[in-house]
Amino acid sequence: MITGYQRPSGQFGARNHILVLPSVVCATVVAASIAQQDAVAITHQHGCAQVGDDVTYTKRVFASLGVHPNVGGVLVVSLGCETVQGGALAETIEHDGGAVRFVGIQSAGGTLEAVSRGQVMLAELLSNAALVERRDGEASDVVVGLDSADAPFAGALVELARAVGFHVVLPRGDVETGPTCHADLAAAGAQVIVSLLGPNETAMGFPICPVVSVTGDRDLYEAMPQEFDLLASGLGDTDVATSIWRVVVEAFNGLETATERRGASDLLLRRLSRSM
Amino acid sequence: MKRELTGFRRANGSVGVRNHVLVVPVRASANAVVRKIVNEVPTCVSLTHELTGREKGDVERTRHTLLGFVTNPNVASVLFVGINDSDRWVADAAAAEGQRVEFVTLAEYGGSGGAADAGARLAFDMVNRERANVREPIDWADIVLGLECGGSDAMSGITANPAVGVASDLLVSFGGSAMLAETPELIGAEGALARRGVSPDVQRRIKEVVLAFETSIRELGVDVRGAQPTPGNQEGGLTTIEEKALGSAKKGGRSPIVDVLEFAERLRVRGLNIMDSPGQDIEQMVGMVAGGAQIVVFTTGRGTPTGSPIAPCIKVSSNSAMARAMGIDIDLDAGTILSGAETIESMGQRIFEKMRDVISGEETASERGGHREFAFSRIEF
Repeated sequence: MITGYQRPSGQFGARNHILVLPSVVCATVVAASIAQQDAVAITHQHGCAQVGDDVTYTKRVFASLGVHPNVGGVLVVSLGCETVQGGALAETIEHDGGAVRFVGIQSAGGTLEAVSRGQVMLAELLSNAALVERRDGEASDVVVGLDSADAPFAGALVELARAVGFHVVLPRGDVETGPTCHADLAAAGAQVIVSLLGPNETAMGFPICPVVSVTGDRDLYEAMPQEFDLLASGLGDTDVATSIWRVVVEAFNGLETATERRGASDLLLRRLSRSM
Repeated sequence: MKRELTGFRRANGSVGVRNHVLVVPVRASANAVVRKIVNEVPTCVSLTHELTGREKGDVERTRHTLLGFVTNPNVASVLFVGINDSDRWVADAAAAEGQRVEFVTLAEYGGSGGAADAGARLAFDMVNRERANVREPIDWADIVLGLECGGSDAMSGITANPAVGVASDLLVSFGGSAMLAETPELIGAEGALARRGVSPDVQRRIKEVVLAFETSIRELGVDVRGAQPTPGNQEGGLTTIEEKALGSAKKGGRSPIVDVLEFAERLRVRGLNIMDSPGQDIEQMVGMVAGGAQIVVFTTGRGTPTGSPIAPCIKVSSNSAMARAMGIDIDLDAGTILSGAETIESMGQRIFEKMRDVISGEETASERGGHREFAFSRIEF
């Protein structure tokens, strides 16, 4: 059985996060001050002096976060002079059906004023989102993102997920910086991400999606089992796929994954060209 | 009475103006643990970043930047947080450059929770240990100043930037050093700057780095407006990159230019240097600090609150309206030059005096506000 949050857009969320989204690195400290412990403040290092496809991609990822099914509302925090204009970003999110508020540091008259205005807006978003309750959903509401198609059990996992009616999003082409593409999977609508980790790796969480961390590195797993959700070692591909599928369903329905317990706020953004 | 110039003399002969214990994740997957440690021990400073260890491009560039940053003399010692022993190389490399380091991994403490607890205990001990370092009198010749402008407007090149240029010239006249960076914001000013190069080689390299950046933009085949100048620059009255550059270059005053540095390269020759860097404020500041700048003077027209994890950053506004509106984020108002209340020279003198106070321990607006932004400059993808 699947439970989640029905959105007015028809989307179905595995989480009901309220985001505080800085449109530029210069607004990340204010965003974190506004969010405190009540909301997810996204941290990133971008949003200014970007050009061409690179800035288009950044804008698209930011906008997609604002209308993601796991998000019940978003407060965009802008500096004011940045390339990825926060005001325009908020307008895009609103146009696409997101519950959005906006505060600008320069237009508010500095960081303290922006924090106090932002906190008022955040309180409103939080109380609206609290009215939405978990309800039953359909298997076809579920979109699972897989950050690598290379693992031997990936094929079995995809088959299993499709057999029960889930949608699966796979990385396209060469995905060199694995975890970075979590943003791409989320932008494609994935509510839960399965991260297939290499040796010596632990998962990067994703700020708005449960990430199911699967490792084949037995030594690392045994040194710190709670950093992972699953050890995929010494089992057949179908067994591994079945175990992952079970955790995906539990995670969708509300069970915290390893990265959620750890607290993930970093958005690792793929960059296509250098900063100007 | 004029205050004495003081700082922390490090074992290798370098001089810090702050005495930070810095907590650094080796990989981005350790960011969350680093946050927990500094939450427990707020007397530490930290950075987080986006490198996963899977990157194919920029491996040397980012490694060089990180090593330069953590060995800046403002850092008394560094706590690195890794996943397992495969991450030890950074701590080893920093130690090889003479930095005091500690290293914890998630693997040795059974995961994030254990590593955060152990890291916090270690960080607490490090802070106590570094308290033994005391301020001593230092010389202006020990100082490397980073010059930066962000969120510039049409006043920046008339008020704040030339006043900072006066302060920079004063510093250089006392034997100190300054770094003029943000290469795209020098496009159009390279001829005037090259004429100030101390040798034909320096003159040639000034033109080369600016031309190379301009070529790299051209090769992208995109419109650079929106990135340079930014929407805020344009709203503030800056119409072209050349116009912005001619104002930007004024931060370097009139001193001769003694050397041209690669991004994050450690300063070699005392005096006014040019560092090849992007104009993106955070990436640029990281590069200058990695190159040895212990203090930054940052002019702004639109108002920007950012700082550095380890270097104090003095904010100088180009206009009084913004300084009034964003008072809490601004240290000095150079808009007084427009009203005629002050001259460029007297403002420059005031900036220089502010530098002395901040070097000697006075907190800046961005330090009080907890602004410790960090970003790597990436060029290969």
